Amino acid sequence: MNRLAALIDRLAVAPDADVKRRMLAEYFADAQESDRAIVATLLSAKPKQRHVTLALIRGLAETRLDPILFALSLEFVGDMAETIALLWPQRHGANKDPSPSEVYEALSTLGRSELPKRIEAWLDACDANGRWALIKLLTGTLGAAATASEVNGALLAAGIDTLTTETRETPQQPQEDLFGKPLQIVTPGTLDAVLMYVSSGRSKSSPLICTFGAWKDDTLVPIGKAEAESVREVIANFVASNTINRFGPVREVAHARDTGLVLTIAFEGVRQSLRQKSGIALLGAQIIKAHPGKAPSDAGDIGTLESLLPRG
Amino acid sequence: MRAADILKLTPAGLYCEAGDFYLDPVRKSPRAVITHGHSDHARAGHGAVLATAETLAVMEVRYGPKFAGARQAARFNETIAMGDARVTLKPAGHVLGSAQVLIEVKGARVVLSGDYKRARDPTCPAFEPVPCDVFITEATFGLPIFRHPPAEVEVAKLLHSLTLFPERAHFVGAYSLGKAQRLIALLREAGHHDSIFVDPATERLCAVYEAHQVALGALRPLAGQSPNALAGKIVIAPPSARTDLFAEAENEPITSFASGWMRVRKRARQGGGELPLIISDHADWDELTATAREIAPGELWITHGEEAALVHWAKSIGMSARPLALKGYGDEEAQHE
Ligand SMILES: [Zn+2]
Ligand SMILES: [Zn+2]
Repeated sequence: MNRLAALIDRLAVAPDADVKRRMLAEYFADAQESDRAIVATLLSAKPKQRHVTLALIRGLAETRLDPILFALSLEFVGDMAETIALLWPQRHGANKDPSPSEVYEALSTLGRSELPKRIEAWLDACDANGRWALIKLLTGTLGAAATASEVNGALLAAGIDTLTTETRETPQQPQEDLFGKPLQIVTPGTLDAVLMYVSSGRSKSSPLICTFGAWKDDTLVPIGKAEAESVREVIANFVASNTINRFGPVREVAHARDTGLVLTIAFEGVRQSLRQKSGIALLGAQIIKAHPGKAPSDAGDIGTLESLLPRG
Repeated sequence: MRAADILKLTPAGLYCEAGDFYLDPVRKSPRAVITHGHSDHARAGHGAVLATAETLAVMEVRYGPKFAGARQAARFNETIAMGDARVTLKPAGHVLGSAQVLIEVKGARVVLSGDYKRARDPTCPAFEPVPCDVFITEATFGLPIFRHPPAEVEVAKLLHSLTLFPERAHFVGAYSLGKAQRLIALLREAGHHDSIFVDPATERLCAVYEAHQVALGALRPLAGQSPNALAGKIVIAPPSARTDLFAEAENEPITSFASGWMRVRKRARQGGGELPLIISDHADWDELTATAREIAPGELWITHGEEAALVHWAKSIGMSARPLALKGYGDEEAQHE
């Protein structure tokens, strides 16, 4: 929680988009795999779930603190969550501060009667900023710290395999989304998808990594990544005149119903995303053809891939 | 003589009748003992001033050679007879030359802490607890929400930001006496040996530190630098210097502010720039309370800052305490802290 708190604080005062992107990319590059999706959601503008009331946490604090010092501090700080975070007496020799995924896992497995003890142990283990972020997380009051496109860009720039759809996950059921068993089936096939992001290395010869998406209702959701390889030239030309956003080495290209580049993707299999109930990931994806003349609205949709997943 | 009667509260500040002198007077006074060079404590125009040689040098840099009618330098632990009082300066650990003042009259002892801290500072000798009957403490950060992290950790954040944003200048707002030099010394300890750019006021005070054997490494004047020459460099200056400096810079600088107030999120978001650093030259709550316990005075008096919480705390452990509500101090705390 300490690292997440530091990120949130710094994003709040970042002077420009470039600084924000680098902070996000640095955070995600060092984040545990299991934290990335949760953090992407926590940073977003989505409404968050309240797991416990602030009154419960205040009650825990009051058993440890002098009421007059508490009142004087609250008067100075003006905010209850922050006052508790600053006042909570640090316990030396406490455990390492919990990661966001540890917190979510405990929230989904602990009974309500076990929760207060665990929250106390977490507060003991965090630094003052970490306690603040933890209290905000538990009470569902973390505000938006970055836009979805900033987070997606950073996830890509961090050079990871996590699908950018993660920011669309439903925060209300994190345990279901995050701890479901992966389901996998080996069904080779092809699908027309739409190019969304392209990431390039420093030199002209380094590979172009493409992220592509399929339709889900009216939006494109990323389904996988692959190197440009045989269609490199077409993609490079498209990027040169259709970039709409940059995140470090990653460019977001136009991808609407009427403008965009359709790619035929061959894949070895489909698996259900660990992080999203309706999420799909392609295994062994390869771009086999680019269709500069084709309308993106004609590309495939998630439903086609879902039909390839086993039932259950 | 009761220790509580050694000092009287007057409009000019605390007055010692037995020695006929004022302590850090806020009005022009015939005889003044000055704890340290911050401008709310050290004012120009007194008849005679007793202080450490370092504090006198700071006053001269700030106010010119005629800052007082006469001056006397006292070494730490040297006892000076002033009328019926004996005065000894003890290190306060706040800034270069900062002193506590021990006043003894017929065996009764009062110590005025001045501004102080207990945290390590490579630019001045450490605070020395002195047994006394009345301990007069500051309380700038006298609330339990204030716990300063180790300054070394905060300096590491600054250096980390410099690696993450190597094309940007890092502008650190810091008070020109004390904070700036401590920051520079800590940066040097952390292995940052590149030139650091400073404004003229900070530069003059750095020279006082250097003259008193505090090495600060390569410093360069900020004046006349093109904003792009500052890319990847650390600049230390008062926050007001920032605006003109970077108006035409290619890359926005990373702006930072080093202050104990940065502990509170609202303050940090208002005035901390992109990189608020919690670095203070004042005692935090734990230091204030640990020091009072350690000295265990008969009475604890509290000069300026957040007094109510400290008075309450002292009474809760059976220590007699009272706020003095001195006026005129802390005007600069918002910056010098
Ligand atoms: Zn001071
Ligand atoms: Zn002061």
